[in-house]
Amino acid sequence: MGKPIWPKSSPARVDRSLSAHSVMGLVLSAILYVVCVSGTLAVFEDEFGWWERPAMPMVTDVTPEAAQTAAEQVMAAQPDTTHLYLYMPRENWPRFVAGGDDGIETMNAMGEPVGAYESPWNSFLIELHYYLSLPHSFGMIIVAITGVMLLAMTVSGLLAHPRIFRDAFRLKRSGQPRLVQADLHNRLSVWTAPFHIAIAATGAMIGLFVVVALVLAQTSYDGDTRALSNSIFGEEGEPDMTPADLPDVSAALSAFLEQDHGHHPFMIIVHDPMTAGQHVEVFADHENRLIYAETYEFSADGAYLGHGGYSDGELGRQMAYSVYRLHFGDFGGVAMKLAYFVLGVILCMIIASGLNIYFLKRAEQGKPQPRLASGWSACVWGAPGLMIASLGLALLGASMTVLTAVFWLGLVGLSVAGLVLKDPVQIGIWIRKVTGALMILTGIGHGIVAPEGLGNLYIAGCNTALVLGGSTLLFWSYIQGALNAPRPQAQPAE
Amino acid sequence: MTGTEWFLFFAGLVAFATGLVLLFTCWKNRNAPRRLIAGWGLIFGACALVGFANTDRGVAQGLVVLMLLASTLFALPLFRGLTAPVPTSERKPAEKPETTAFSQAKTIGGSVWTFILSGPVAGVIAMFGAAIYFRMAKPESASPATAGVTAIMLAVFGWAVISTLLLIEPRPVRRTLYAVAGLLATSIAAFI
Repeated sequence: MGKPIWPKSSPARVDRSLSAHSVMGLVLSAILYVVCVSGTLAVFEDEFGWWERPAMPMVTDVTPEAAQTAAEQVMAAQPDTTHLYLYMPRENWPRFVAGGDDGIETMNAMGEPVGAYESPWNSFLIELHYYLSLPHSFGMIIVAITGVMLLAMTVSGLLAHPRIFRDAFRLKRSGQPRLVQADLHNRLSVWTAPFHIAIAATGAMIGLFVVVALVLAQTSYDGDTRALSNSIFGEEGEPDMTPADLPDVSAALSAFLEQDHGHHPFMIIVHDPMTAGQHVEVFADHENRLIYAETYEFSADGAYLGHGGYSDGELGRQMAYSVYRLHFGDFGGVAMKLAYFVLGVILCMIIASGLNIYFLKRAEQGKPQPRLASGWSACVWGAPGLMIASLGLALLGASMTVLTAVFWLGLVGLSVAGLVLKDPVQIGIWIRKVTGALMILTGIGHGIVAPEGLGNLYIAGCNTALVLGGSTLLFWSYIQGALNAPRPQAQPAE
Repeated sequence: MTGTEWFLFFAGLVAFATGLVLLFTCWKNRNAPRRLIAGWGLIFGACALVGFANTDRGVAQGLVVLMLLASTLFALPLFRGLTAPVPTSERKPAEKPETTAFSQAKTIGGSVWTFILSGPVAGVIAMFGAAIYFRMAKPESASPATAGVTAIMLAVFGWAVISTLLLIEPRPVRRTLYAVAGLLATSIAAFI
């Protein structure tokens, strides 16, 4: 074999990088894992939101007149709102939702309200993923820092991997457990690295925007904390609070449709409604771009004023507006969402196997930690299990507060049970069996409680996924339980 | 997308898959440099094709498909089972070195200090570093949007890299010196 083209890595540097990688993993794994499990499920937040409210009508098209009716309904219900929102149906979201500062409601195709939109499990999921169920301003920064640390672990992991190309496809399935886990961890990490970097960086950018804006305000803008935001996302004009009639939303939407540039409008925001300073902003999907939307401004009587420049303006604006879709995988319909779900599951496997490697290494060094390994196994399988348990509870009418308490107390309880049981394999099998059974029960239970939802492709898809996923998990757990029947030798006490 | 764009997109996906297969065969048979070059060439060419087909969204979609294809290569053998992550061999438990209360407190204190340096202090250095960049890159009269977004990205990536570099430094005193020097230099430069 010829001389390798890559410079030889210094063993000392590799060791130190590995040590840095391990320290970060030990400190962060549990929090990072919860953020990643909730993020993996949050890819389907819209679908599960609908699953929770199966009576929500399917709306595929909203006429300008229906948009006007919906705007009038919102203003009648929330006369003091400072912004009016109309969320129109789009490719994989055939719904019509409208509201203001005090909440949003589901509308029918005529623009009339038919019920609430927000749902307890979906809200719990979002609170968990965005804020770790903490107060928002603090929680968002903590979650953003986990994003930064995921990036740091990617950097240290790559530095600690001197045979990245030589081992590009190597995967041991059997043999020494630590090497099996290390191969799994390294191969999946390397091949899905662009995904980790993308979601970690975009998540951190979303969460740390406020902090960076605060620093730049002190160093470059004489303390003006809105200056950075205004320069990227545009400035709202001076409000003129003189009372006025509701703007002509239908005229604005008609004018937009008449422009016929082929971009689908999916959101309308009326700023400062029923004041002289009001204006209408139409958000349109540019299906060949990663940007969240291009915005088109209209006056209160529907005259076109210009566009925001997120599709063709400054590069910085385009980059800032591309962060959301890149983070949530919302750039290719259900297919991309499924792909993001699979990549999210892989990221969870990488985190789980990372700490498994640590525990196996400790055992090889004669310093086993079976209690901690068992607690970690309970946390790894318990987090998704508790998400499913809370989904079932939401079906029975539990509130978001109850779901949050069930998740966190349950996770602590299961981890303690793992510590007591001191058997990482067995507790994993038990939790998987219960999770599988709960998934099947929740899927079937939903079909019985809300049979009207079975005609809806998205809800039927959620139920089918729950039943099939649960059956697979249950089957796999029984197989593993059977294989594991001659129990491994007792491990030496800690 | 138009018919031509769909064609380019699928051609890109096929190129991704072919490139991956070439890299795999090249990994199996190490003496195939042409296959290595062709494999990477196809992957970069595929990025260009999906980019022509659907601009930046196309590149993102193509890379997601590539990652899924690669993951499938590893997932298929996993269905045949995987050794459970439990220790198979026992070693005599290592004798724990005698520790005094002072040495334990020193270890814990050292860990907390390392955490502070590689977490919050690294973060502050990165933020001030981004602020310095922003002051230099911000145009006098035009919109500072690009400089602002780049500064946010620099803060995020800078924090990750500085944390890693501080943790890689094995000597605690040097680690502290590097962090304090970085903090002083960036904070002074950011506010001048």
